[in-house]
Parts: sequence; structure tokens; C-alpha cells
Amino acid sequence: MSTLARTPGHRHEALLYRGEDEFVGRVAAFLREGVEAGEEVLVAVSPPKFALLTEALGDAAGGVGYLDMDEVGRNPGRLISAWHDWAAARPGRALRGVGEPVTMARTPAETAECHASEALWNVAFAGHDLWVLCPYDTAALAPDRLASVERTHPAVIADGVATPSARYSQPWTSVLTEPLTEPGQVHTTLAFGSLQRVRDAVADAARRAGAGRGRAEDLVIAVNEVACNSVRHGGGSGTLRVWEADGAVVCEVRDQGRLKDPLVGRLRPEASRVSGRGLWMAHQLCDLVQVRSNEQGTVVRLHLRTG
Amino acid sequence: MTASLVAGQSSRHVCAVTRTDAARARITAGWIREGLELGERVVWVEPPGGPVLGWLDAGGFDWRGPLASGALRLAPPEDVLLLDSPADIPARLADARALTAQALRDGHSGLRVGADTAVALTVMAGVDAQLRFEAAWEELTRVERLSLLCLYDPAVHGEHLDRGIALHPREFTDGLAVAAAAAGTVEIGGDLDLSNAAMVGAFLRAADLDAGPGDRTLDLRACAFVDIAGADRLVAFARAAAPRRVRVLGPPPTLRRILELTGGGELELVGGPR
Repeated sequence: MSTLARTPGHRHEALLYRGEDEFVGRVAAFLREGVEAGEEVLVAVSPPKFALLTEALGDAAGGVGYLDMDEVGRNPGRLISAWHDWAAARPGRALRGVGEPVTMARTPAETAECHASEALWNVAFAGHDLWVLCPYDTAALAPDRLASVERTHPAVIADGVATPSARYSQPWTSVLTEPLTEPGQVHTTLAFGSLQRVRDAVADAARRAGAGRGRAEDLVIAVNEVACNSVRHGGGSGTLRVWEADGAVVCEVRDQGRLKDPLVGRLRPEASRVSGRGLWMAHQLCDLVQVRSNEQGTVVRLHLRTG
Repeated sequence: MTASLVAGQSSRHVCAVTRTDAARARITAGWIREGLELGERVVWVEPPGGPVLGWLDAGGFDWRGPLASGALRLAPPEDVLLLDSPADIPARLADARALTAQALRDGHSGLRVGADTAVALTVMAGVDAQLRFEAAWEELTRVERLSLLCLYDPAVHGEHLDRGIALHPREFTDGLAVAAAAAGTVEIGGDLDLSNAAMVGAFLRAADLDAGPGDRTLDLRACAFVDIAGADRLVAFARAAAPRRVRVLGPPPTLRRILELTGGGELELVGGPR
């Protein structure tokens, strides 16, 4: 029984709910409305929540596409690209979706990147005929995980009523400048000009951290591409640091270059474009990617879970 | 077919960073062979009993004729590279000019001089002196008909490696070797990445000119790593070769992964680990 009515254009709204029943009730109603109106409908949640929605939707579930948040959204930096691919395959259609990136299962660093993705969503999908609700469980989420919601969504729905966010104001402008915390013990520090030395160091670190061969190769590809950016755009060289934290091996590439586009790496690059693919690829290969850039230079941290 | 390493390149000062004898052998043999085919005199610097003739044998190149005619010369390091201090650099440069002039007088089209820097260091006053000599030689290759190949081993140069590499306008990273092995087949060994992708692309285009009408094969069985820049060059090669098919033998897992994510269906991957 949604009291919300569809308007054309882009809408990105947070849906505050308390507990599973309210989640299923409100989200299933929103999805059903889209299916019945003949819209293209996609939902990105964890598999258990999708099972609940499927049950509640009954026959209408056939009209709802699914992105596994635990797979595609394991790295929240992949979400915009995945949704963008879905939208691009449906030109001219009215699109509707639900995406729940933030849960208590996320680490603090992952949560920060979820909020970054939410902030960037507003620029990435401007101009699309897309209405997306982002559910946030106020019963389960710690207050710090809810603090950004009003800042990143133009409107917030609570108790079924949408209210424009007073605190919403171009939240994407600060995505590249949010501070990163210094790591504890750093295993490896390497000033590099040669990509081979970077690859050797990353392969060693991944092996030491217990990553399997395929996963270690993913990390080597990703860090190599980021280091390529340092060689090409970051003054010809950079610094690699490697450490382990939260069951992941983390590789950080730092250089003198400056990134200006906060959406860098978040959208699938066109095949014809030569640059911009490295960071997108890194997002696809890693479990978390943090990109920061200011007048001091650019820092990219790539996380690979080993646990 | 030629087993040429360098095609369509303007710079004559080549750095090869290698970790294994196999890579050193492959790059050096290709470079020497190319010079001889271009009519140049080739001077390889190594102590008596050094490995280069074995490397040429392994590459299937008969060195006896060129060695007898003086087109190929082996020189002990103290004859060409002796550097008791950086003050000797001008004298060594004068030697190199004289050698180049002599090669031209003898009817050669130029001179190429190559050495393993680990060998060079045995007659030089340290890495700093060697790197200053390298920088001076780089200037010389721009004005003389002189080409240089410098083999670098990370185990020898350690922290100085990047400084050494930076002195060279052209680089074979980590023993990347490219060879047109047979009509329509090109072998790429080592790591194919941003540092050498443009060179490999140029080589592929050049090698394709006389490759005949059939399908193409890129033999990557000796290639351990390909990055996006490298994959781009291979895909571009396949697009240019269409409608002929391009098979990739033994693609490294990283190439498979990159093509999975970015497309590149023009390449037909055959075998190799998954």
C-alpha cells in the first residue's frame, strides 16, 4: 500500500524501515506496483531478503530481476556500474529498483564506500527514468551507519511518507577527499618505477596472506593497473604499501597525480576509450577499492579478502 | 623468417631487464641477429668463454660466418668498458666513436655494442660510474650510427634498477622477447605490460606485413603476464587481421581474466592454464 506515486525522471530515495516485516511489506508493494505498471524492475539485496521478497510477490516475482548484493555488491564500488549496465540494456523504458547496500555485516571501510556509492548515484543516474529506493533498517543499523542517509538521498521515506532531505546538497563533491585512516603495521613499502617490481611484491604479499592463486592473480592485475596509472598520469612513479587488516590483504598505491572525476572507475568504460579502464577493472577484481585524491596526490587502496 | 626483436623503433638504446638466463639468451640472440641482418657490425662484450655463442646456438643462428668476417666481434670488458673513475668517461666515448667510424669504413651500416651490466661492473668503479657512463652513451646513440643493448639483472642492481632503466629510451621489461618465429606466427615471452605494449604493437604490425594470407598465431606459451595495455595491443592486432583468425596459444591466466571482463572475442584462446 504505497502512498507514493510515480513521476517521470530520476528519483533516489532512502526507505527507513524497522525489521523484516516492514521491509517485506513496503518493498514488495513498491516492486509489485512497478511490475503491474509494465516497468522494468530490479532488486539488489542479500539472498535471504530476496527469498522473502519472492515469496511475498508470488506471481509478480517473475517480473523482477535480481542482483545478488553479496556477490556484485560485495565491493560497493561495483554497484553503479552493474545498475548502469542494466539500465543501458533497457533504453526508453521506465525503470524501477530497490538496492540495500548497507548492513551490519559491512566493515566500517565498506560502509563508507557504500555511502560514497549512494552519493555518486545521484550524478551517475541523473537524466535516467529510474526510481530507486534504498532500504535502511533503523532497528538493526548502528546510528553511525545511518548518519549519511539524509545527505546522500534527495528524499527519505519513513512510515510510508516521503520527505525532502534538508541535508541533501551535492554529496558527491567530497567523495574523493574523505580521509582514510592510517594502517597499523605495514609489511612492505616500495617506491616503484618498474611495474614488474610492483607485481612481484603484490604476488608475494597475497601468497603470504593465504590468498589462492586465482585470487592472488586478480589482485596482481588490479594493483598493476593502478600502478600503470601512476606511471602514465602520476608523475611516472609511485609508492606501494602493503598490509593486512580485517581478514584482507590491502595494497595501497600513492602518486603525485590528481583525479578530478569522482565517478572514476564506477562506470563500465566504453571499449573505444583507452584510459579509465584500470580503476573499473580494479573494482571488478577486488573486494573493496578506496580512491582518494587531493592537491597532495592520489591514493588508491585495494582490498582482497583472504579469510 | 627473421627473429627480430625490434621493429619500427626509432631509439637505438635498449635496456633489457631480465631475471633468467633464458630471457637474456633470447633477447641478446635476437638483437645480435637483427643487427647483422641490417648490415651492422655487432660487438658483444664479455670475458673469454662467455655465454653468447651458446645463446646464438640456442636461437638456431649460425655465428661462424659473421665471426670469421668480422661482422660479429667478441670483446673483453676491459677493452671497451674500463672505467677506473667517471673521469675516464670521455676517453671511453672517444673509443666508441672510433669503433663506429671503423665499422662504417669497413662497409657496415653501423655499430651495435651490447653487454650485460653485471659484466660491465667488473671493470667499472661502481654503479654510480656505470650509470653516468650509460647516460653519456645515450647521448652518443643520438648522433652516431651506434646502437646499444644493456642487460640488467634486478639481483645485481637492486635499488639502482629504476635509475638504470630510466636512462634508456626503450625497455624490454623483465625479459619480454618478441619474435616472428614462422610465417603468421609471433612468439611473445616474458611479461607484456604498459612498459612494452606499444613496442609489441609496433612489432606485431611490422611482422604481419610479410606473414602471408593465412590465419595468425600468437604464441604466448612463454608469456607469464598480460595487462590491459598489452591485451589492447593483441585485440587491436586481431581486429586489423580480420577476417583472418587470430589464435592465442597458451594465454596466461591474467589475459583470460582481462578478456572475460572487457570483451575481446576477436582473440581465440587455445590451451593454457585456467
